[in-house]
Amino acid sequence: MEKIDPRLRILCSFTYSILVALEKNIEIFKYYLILPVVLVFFISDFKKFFKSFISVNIFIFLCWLFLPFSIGGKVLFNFLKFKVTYQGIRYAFLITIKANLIFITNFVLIFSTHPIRVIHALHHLYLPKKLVNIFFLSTRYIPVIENEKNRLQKAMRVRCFVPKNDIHTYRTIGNLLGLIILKSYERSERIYKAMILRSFSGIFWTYYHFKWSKKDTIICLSVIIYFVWIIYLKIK
Amino acid sequence: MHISEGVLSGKVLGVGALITIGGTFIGIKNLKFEDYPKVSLLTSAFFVASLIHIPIGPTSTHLVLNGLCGIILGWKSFPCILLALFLQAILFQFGGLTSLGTNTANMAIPAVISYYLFRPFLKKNYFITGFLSGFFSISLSCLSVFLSLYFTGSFFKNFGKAIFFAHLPIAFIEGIITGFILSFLSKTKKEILEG
Repeated sequence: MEKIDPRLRILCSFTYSILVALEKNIEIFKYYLILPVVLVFFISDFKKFFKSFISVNIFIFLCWLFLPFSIGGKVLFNFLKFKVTYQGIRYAFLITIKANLIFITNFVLIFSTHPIRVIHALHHLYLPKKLVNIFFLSTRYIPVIENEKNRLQKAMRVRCFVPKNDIHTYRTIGNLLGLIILKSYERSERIYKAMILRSFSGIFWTYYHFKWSKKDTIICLSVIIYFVWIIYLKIK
Repeated sequence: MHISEGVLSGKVLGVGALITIGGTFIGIKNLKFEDYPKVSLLTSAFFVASLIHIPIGPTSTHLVLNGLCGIILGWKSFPCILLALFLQAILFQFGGLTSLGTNTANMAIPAVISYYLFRPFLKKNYFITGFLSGFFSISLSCLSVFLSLYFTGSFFKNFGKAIFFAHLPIAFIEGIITGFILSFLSKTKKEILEG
C-alpha cells in the first residue's frame, strides 16, 4: 500500500468518505462494500486495527443506546416500557455501516501512513502554504513536547503524586500543563532564532518527492470508474 | 465530544466545513513569518495537553482546553484545533475526516468567542477569568455538538441532551484547571498571555 502515491490515496479515500457519508439509501451499500472488502487484505497491523475499530465504535455504541427508542414508527417490541421501533434500528444500523466502511477505507489508505507524509501530500493537493508550515512544524515537535510531558510526569510520580478527585490534583495538573505551555513557548523562541540563522524564507524544502507511476494511473482509472458507476447507480 | 463519521447529515457536515474553512482562513491571514514557531509549538502543546487524563469521579477524562487556546491564540485557534483534531483522527481514530469540519467548528467557535469575551478581563483576576472561559467554552462546545446532532435529526434530542449533561462536570473541572494554568502563566511568563 505504501508504494501507491499518497496523493491518490487521499483523494480516493476522501471521495469515498463523502459519497458514503451523504448516502441515505440502504440498498446501495452492497456496492459500497466492494472497496473496503478489497482493502481489508492490505491491513498489516491487525492489533492497531482492532484498537482503532473499538475507538470508532464507542460513539456508535452510544448511538445504539438511544436511537432505537427515539425514532417513531413500527413498534417491534417493548423493552422496559420503551418502544423499540423498526425505523430506529434501521437508522442505527445505517450509521454503523457508514462509520465502519469509512473507517476501514481511511485506515488502510491514510492512517497507515506517517502524518508527515500525509501533510506533504496535502501540500501537493494545494492546502494553503501557511497552514502546511504550521502543520509540519507542530507535527514535528509533538513527540518532543510529549517527551517533555513524560519527563515531568515521571518527576511527579517520583514525588509520590497520585491523581485524586481533589483541588490539589487539579492545581498540580494545572501547573504541569502551564509548565508544558511555558516550555514549548520558550522552545519556539529558540526555534525561531535557529530558523532565522538558517535564513528560512517561508518554505520547507523536502528531499523526498512523490513519483507518479504507471501502476498509479491504472489504480486511478479503475477507482474513477468505480465512483462513476456508484454515482450512476445513485442517480438511477 | 468527537462526532464519528457517517452520523451527521450532509447539511450539517457542509455548514461545519464552511465555518472551519472560513475561520482557518481568517486565522492564517494575519499570520506572520515570525509567528510560525510560536503558533506551531503552542499547537503541539495543546495536543499533548489533551493526552493527559484527569480523574473525575470513578472515571477519567481528557482535557480539551479550547478556552485557554482561544485566550492565547485568538482566531489562530482555528488552525490549531483543526490540526489537533486532524491528528487525533488519523492517529487514534477519534472523530473522523468527513466530520472534521463540524468537530473543529464545534470546538473553535467557543474558543474565539472566549477570546473576545474573557481576554479583556484577564488582568483583573487570572483564576476567575480562566475558570469562566474554561467552563463557558466546554459548555458551548457541548451545546454546539447537541445542535449539530439535533439538526441532523430531531430524534437525536435525547442523545444530545445526555452528551450535554454528561459534560457539565467535565466543564467545571476544565474551568478549574484552566484557571490554575492561567494563574501559573501569569506568575511565570506573562508575555504568553499578552503576545
